[in-house]
Amino acid sequence: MGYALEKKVVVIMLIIFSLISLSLPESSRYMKEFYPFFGWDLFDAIPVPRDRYELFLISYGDSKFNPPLNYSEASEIFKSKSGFPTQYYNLVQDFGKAITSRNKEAEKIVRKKIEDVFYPQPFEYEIRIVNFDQLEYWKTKKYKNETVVGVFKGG
Amino acid sequence: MSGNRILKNILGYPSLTLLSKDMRVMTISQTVISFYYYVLVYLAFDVFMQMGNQINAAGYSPIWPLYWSNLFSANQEMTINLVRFFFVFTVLAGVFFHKKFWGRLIVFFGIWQMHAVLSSFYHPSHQWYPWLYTSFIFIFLPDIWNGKISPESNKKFLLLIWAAQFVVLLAYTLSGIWKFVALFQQFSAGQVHGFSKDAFAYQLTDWVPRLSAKPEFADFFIDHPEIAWPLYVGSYFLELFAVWTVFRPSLQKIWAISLIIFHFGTVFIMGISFMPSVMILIVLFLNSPFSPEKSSLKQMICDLPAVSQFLLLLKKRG
Repeated sequence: MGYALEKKVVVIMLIIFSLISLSLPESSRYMKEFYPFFGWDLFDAIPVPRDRYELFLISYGDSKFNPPLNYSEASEIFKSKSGFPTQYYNLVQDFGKAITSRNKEAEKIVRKKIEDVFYPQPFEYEIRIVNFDQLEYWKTKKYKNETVVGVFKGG
Repeated sequence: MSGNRILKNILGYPSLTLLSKDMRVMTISQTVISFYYYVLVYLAFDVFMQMGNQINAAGYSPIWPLYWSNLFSANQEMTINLVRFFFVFTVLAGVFFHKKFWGRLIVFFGIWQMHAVLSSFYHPSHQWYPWLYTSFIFIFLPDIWNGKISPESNKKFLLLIWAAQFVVLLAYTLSGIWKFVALFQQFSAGQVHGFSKDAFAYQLTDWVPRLSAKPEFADFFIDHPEIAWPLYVGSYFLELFAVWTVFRPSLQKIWAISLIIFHFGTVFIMGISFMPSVMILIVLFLNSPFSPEKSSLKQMICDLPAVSQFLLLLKKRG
């Protein structure tokens, strides 16, 4: 291929690559269907007070948590499986949405993926929908409101 | 004036034809490629250990490049071990054989499979994308080593290095674009937005609680929004205009150093390590073949986005 043609090919491919990447605003979740393209929408929006789902551990193994422990503070459990809570954030959101929309199929699939991290220990946890201001919660550790949408056991 | 000419006036990209005749430029470009494959060795051993921790990690859900593991009924442990040993093997082969087409090809396969494993835990590995894309581009480098130089080959060689620089910086620009899109949306909705005083504090207080350990300077920047604000807003522009520097090489070194500082910031403030991205910025931009041998401050200011277009417009009118 001569240089002139190769230059055109390279430029066209870069343009196509850029357009594909620009068309993937939601590609930061579950990369499987978009791999190897990525939209790079990392930390784009400022988190505002909103509803989101949180997982709270009621018990794990021999330990009982009162009050229930937010999964983001249960890093030792995730470390034992060579993971960390951040990896499960999107899964928890999907789980919560599946529960509230009564999508049993999705609920079953996502529940298995989340509970893999807790096995083989017995466990009990609840999914809550919470509304909070992140900055206010950082200082006061208080949600504006919260509702339990599901309680689950296993192990 | 043709569309091509207008585009060239606006973008003003470096003439690869002229640069390809410069022995200094060609020597640097060969050095950059060799250094690219040598640096991979440093990264490879860290990744090898990281993948070792994933052998028994929960949440393994292999993505499509690992389809072969289903065909051969390879379980998680077997797949990850095969891939990590293959990756190290290909990286070491790249040290000796990166001047050969097949050497660069197997390095790409090694990176591709390694990246697929890292991205198979419900969370893509963003930091290795630039290496995946650039190793693919470099497969097609012409053979200009061992005295096989020709004007055509030289130009193609530079073209592909330029393309690699483009895809690396495109990632930052895309990130910047989405930040500005969200900024306008949130501003219009009357919400806290990217230019708000507490913007960075909100990012940190949302993100940091999900980490296993609090980053060293997270509390400081949450408690001091007056210090965080200019840095945070500055990062928006730093990212947005990153890809501009492939058209204005005098800016490449300073922009790359700024992005490297930005990554150090994300480690100590947000707990996010992007070491592979730091290394690729070092390899491709701190000794870029396209950077002028001597860049004056005046040149760099004139090359800044918006300033550059304004000056072109004045020149056209004058």
